[in-house]
Amino acid sequence: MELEDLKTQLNRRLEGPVGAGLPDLDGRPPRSHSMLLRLRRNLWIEFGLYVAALCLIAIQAHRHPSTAIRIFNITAAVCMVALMVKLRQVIRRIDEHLRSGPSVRDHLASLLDILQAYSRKYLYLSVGFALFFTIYMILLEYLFPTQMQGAVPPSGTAEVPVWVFVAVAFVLTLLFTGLIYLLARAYIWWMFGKHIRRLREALQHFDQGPED
Amino acid sequence: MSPDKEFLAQLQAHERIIHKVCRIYQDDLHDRQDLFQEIVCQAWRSYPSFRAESRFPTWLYRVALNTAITYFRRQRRRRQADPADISMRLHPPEDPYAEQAERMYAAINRLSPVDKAIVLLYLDDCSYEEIASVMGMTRVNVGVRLNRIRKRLREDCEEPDTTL
Repeated sequence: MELEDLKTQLNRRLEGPVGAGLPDLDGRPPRSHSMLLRLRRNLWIEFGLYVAALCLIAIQAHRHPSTAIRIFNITAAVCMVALMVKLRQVIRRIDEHLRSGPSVRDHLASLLDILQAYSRKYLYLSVGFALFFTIYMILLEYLFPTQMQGAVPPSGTAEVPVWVFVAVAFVLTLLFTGLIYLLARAYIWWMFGKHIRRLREALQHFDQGPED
Repeated sequence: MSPDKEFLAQLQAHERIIHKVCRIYQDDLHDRQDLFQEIVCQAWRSYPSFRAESRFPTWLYRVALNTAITYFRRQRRRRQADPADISMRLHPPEDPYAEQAERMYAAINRLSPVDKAIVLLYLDDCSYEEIASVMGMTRVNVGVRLNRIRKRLREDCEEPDTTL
C-alpha cells in the first residue's frame, strides 16, 4: 500500500479538531509558553540588573578615595556597557525572529544561532563577573587590610610578603572563576542543552543532501 | 476590516491546517491543545510580516511547522489519548482501507520531525515548489526525500506492527 492511495483517509484522520478553539484576539497577544519569549523576558530582566549594577559601580567610582579602585571601577563599567550592547543585540535578533515567517530550515538555523549566542554571552558574563568580583575583593583587602576587633596591631615583623599575597590571590581568583564557569555551564545546559541538541539533530537531518 | 478580524477570518478558513500539524506532532490530547494555542499565538505575532507574497495557507504552514518542530515541553506523567483516536480504533469506519490507513498513520508518526512536515505538505496536495519554499530546500531535494520516505513507509507498513 502506497502513501498516494491513502491520501483521503489520512487527510480525514488528520483534519479532525483537537478540542481547542480559536481565541478572541482583542488586541492582546494570547498567552504563550514559547521558549524564545521566555528567553526574551529573562534577557530584559538581566538587562535591568546590569543597569542597576552599573549605577552602583558609577557611584563607587565617584566616591572612593583610592585612585586604583576608581580606575578599576571605571574599567569594569566600560566592560559592562559593552556586554549590555551585546545583550541588546541578542534581544533585537529575537524580536526580528519572532516577527518574521522564515522557512523551516532558516527558522531552525536562526533559533540555534540565537541560543548559542546567548549561551556564549552568558558564559563570558559570568566568568567576567567572577573575575571582577574576586580581583576587586583582593584589591580592597590589599589596600585596606581588615583587622580583627580587639586584636593587637601588627608590630611590622610578621607582615605577609607580597609574593605570597599575589600567589594566594591568584589561586583564589582561579578557583572562584573556575567554579562560577562550571556553574554557569551547568545552568546553560539545564536550560537549553536539550533544545540545542534537538535543533542540531534537526539541522543535520536537513543537511543530509540528496546524494547521501 | 481591522487587521485582527482579517487575521481571524483567514485563520478560521484554514483552521484545519493547525489541527493537522497538532495531530501529527503531538500524541497527548492536552499537548495538542497547548500546541494549537501556541501556533495561533505565533501566527498572530508574525501576521504583520505576512505580505501576501505567498498564499496564506503556505505562510500558515510555515508558522505552524516552525512552532511544532521547536515546541519543547516537559513530558507529562500521564498521557491522555485523544477521544477521536480511541473512537476510530473502537469503531472503525466502513472503509476497506481504514486498517491500512491506521498502520500508515502509525508509520508516519515514527518519522523524524522534518520528514513528518514533508509528508504533511504532500498529503495536502502541495506542489514540490511549495514544499521546497516552506521547508527551505531545493525542489530536487524534496523529490529525493519524498522517494526515501515512501520507501521507508512501505517497508514499515509491510512489517507486522508489534507496538500495538
